[in-house]
Amino acid sequence: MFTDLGHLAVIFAFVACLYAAVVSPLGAQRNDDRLVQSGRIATLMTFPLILIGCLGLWYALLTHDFGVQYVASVSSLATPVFFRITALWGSQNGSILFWCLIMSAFVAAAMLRDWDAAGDKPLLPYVTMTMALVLGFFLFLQLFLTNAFVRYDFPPQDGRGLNPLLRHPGMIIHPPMLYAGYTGLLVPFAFCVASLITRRSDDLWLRSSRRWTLVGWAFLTAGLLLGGRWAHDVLGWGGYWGWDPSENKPLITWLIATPFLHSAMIQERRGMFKNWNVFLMMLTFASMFFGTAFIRSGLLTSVHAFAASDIGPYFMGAMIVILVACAVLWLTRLDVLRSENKLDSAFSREGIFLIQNVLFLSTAFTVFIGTIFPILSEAISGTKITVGPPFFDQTVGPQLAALVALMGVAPLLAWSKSSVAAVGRQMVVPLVFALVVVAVLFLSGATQPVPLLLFGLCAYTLAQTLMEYVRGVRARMRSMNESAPLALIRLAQKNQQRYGGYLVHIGVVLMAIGVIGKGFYGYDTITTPAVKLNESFTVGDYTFTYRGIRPVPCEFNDCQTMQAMLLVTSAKDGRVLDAIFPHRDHYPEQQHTATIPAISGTFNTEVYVLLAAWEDGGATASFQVFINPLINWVWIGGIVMLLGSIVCFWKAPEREPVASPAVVRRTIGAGAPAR
Amino acid sequence: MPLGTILLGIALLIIVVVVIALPLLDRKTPAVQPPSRREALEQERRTIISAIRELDFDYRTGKIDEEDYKRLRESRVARGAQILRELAELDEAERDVDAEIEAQVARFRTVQATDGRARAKSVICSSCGHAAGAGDKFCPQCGHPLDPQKAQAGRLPARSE
Repeated sequence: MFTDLGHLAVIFAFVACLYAAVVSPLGAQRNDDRLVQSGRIATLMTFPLILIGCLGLWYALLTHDFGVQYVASVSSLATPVFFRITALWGSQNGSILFWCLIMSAFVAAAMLRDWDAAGDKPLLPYVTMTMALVLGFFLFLQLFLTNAFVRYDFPPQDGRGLNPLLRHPGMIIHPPMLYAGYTGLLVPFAFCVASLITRRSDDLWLRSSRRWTLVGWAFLTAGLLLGGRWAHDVLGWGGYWGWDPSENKPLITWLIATPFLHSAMIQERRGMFKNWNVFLMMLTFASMFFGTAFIRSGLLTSVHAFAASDIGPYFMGAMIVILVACAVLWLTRLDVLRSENKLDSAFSREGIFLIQNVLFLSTAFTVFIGTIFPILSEAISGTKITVGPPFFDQTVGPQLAALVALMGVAPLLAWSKSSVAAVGRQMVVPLVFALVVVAVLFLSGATQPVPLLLFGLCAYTLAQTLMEYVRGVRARMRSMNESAPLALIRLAQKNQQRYGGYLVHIGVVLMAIGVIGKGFYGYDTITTPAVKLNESFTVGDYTFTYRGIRPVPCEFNDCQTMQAMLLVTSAKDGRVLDAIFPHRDHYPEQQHTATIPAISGTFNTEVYVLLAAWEDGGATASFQVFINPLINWVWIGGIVMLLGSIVCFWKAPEREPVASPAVVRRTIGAGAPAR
Repeated sequence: MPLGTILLGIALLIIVVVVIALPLLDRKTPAVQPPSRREALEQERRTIISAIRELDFDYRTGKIDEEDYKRLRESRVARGAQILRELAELDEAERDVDAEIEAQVARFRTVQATDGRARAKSVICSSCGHAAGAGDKFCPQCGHPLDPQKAQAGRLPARSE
């Protein structure tokens, strides 16, 4: 009963969206606030309605109601309660419903804000309209193409159980995070569209949606990181990143949203780059649809193959509609988007932001090309050619390195105009630090030039970013007579975005250290021929001795596990370091085998071993061994990035700089008339 | 679908429809006001102030040379001052209108007070004997015309400007 009620609630939510999408712009056109408010409430109501829908489905999952097709496809009598809850987004149909829930939560939160106090009420009708249209599209998919509430005429006795790949904590948090990231970015998009429709030339849409953008960006980052962690722990990729289309898709969005965060600052401060910001926002939003269109259509094979279905063409259609509508809207508003100021000098923060923006977009474009290359090649030559990690490493790697370098220079430049001398002065200390780091690394045996250069770059950027805090603190200590700790806190409070942003930069550098470590000093070896029982093999500084294989009880009761044992000893002095147990879980019901790595080693060097195959009941076995130096810095860097983004959005930066008449006169000085 | 579900569904539908329709029952108010000149100026004032603050901070942290700093600050301050002047003119204009309204209200009140006083020592209607106000042309009781010269005295004075 509750499940069917949930179904009805989702239908009501869809109708509410359609109503809001019509009535809100009508209210604006007739200048009737009653219609606008009614549309706003209708959009707001989608959240409780979709929540009732999700509760209905959860109820079916928890009560083993296998009459519901979705429940039978993602759970079984043996599925533990926890996984029955997460099974809500364990497959296509449920995940679209869950996506709608998260999107409606963001939409409802946006609708609940005090629009009068925020001063952006003129945008409300069209923000409502945009959000209702987008949410309505997803509800349409849910109800007409991927309905999670459809029932069997004759319910089966038991279900199939949850996809084994998804039985991992990372996979449980990763999709909600990613959805929240995507749907969080719907808010600034809706504000952007509303601003264009109402022909506003100011930065109201940027200011009003700034925190939402930051929150969306943070969720997207967290989703990417958790996805990487899941791939590392469950998929046996040996690392954090495999350039899988399903990873590239959110990465492309991230690579477009990040320059937007930066160039938005220029518009807020200098009234420039208005067109560019609109362009980036629209591209960010369209990229969301692009990836989903390709991956869920099955055009690209990815680890998300389980999500393949026939909704791809609809996403493609939606993407085209969005692109065309945005282009028309944008082109007809070019006259209101004129810049208020001219670029004073290319050698300024605006100038370097522009370079950074271009670099980000070219990186996004490279990933895009690499991702759709199979489709391109099939269209041109008739054969599907997939480009692998080497392509991405060689093309994207240098661009990312250049971005790290820019992070070390951009903060040194002032707005409007900088001088070479001023920048040079600030570079001295970090450059000396970087040279010392390079010298120490060289003397300790790291003599390959490229990683040495890259580590030097990281050291420089890290020192430079830390120096930014030092300079800010010093300036405050001088001008405000504050103690160092107080100055640091005040500094961050006064400009959360800047100093939170620098923390994100530090996270990126730490992450880069991990990437360089694994990329240049890591090993990826498959033992050939297979290792015989009690035989040893050596990879890097580690010797592995194969000690046999045996079946063990599986974590879940629908699988069979074969576990190998390896003794890890130091190749240098023969010291026994660890015993590790890589295993393979076979799920006969799902016809799926998961290769679960055994992970050992130290903080600095990870040893990651997969059981590749075995013969004759374990007389021989072969292993894939990864030695991942510094990989842990990738995760640490990721956490620092998230902390930084929290600093950015934690408490809203003042909507307007405190601008009491006294302050204004003090700031502007003698030119102000007496009041 | 069982009857219980249908009834619950109908109940839910009614709640949703009522909640969404509630704003429609309000009095009509305008939804959108076009952005005013003042809003645009306030907006630019905010931009300028934050630009000047950033510039000061960049100077204090040694990111910009003194010469550039002075030149840029001067141009920003000049623009800021211009905006403040325009805002002050708007204020002035608004204050003029406000003052005018205030003045008229005050005058009106004075007249009413005078009327009241006049009424206290009112003229008596020659027809019915009712006490009428000094400014009245006709008796409020019986409608008989009162002395026109007395009525003349209580008229609202013309605008002095």
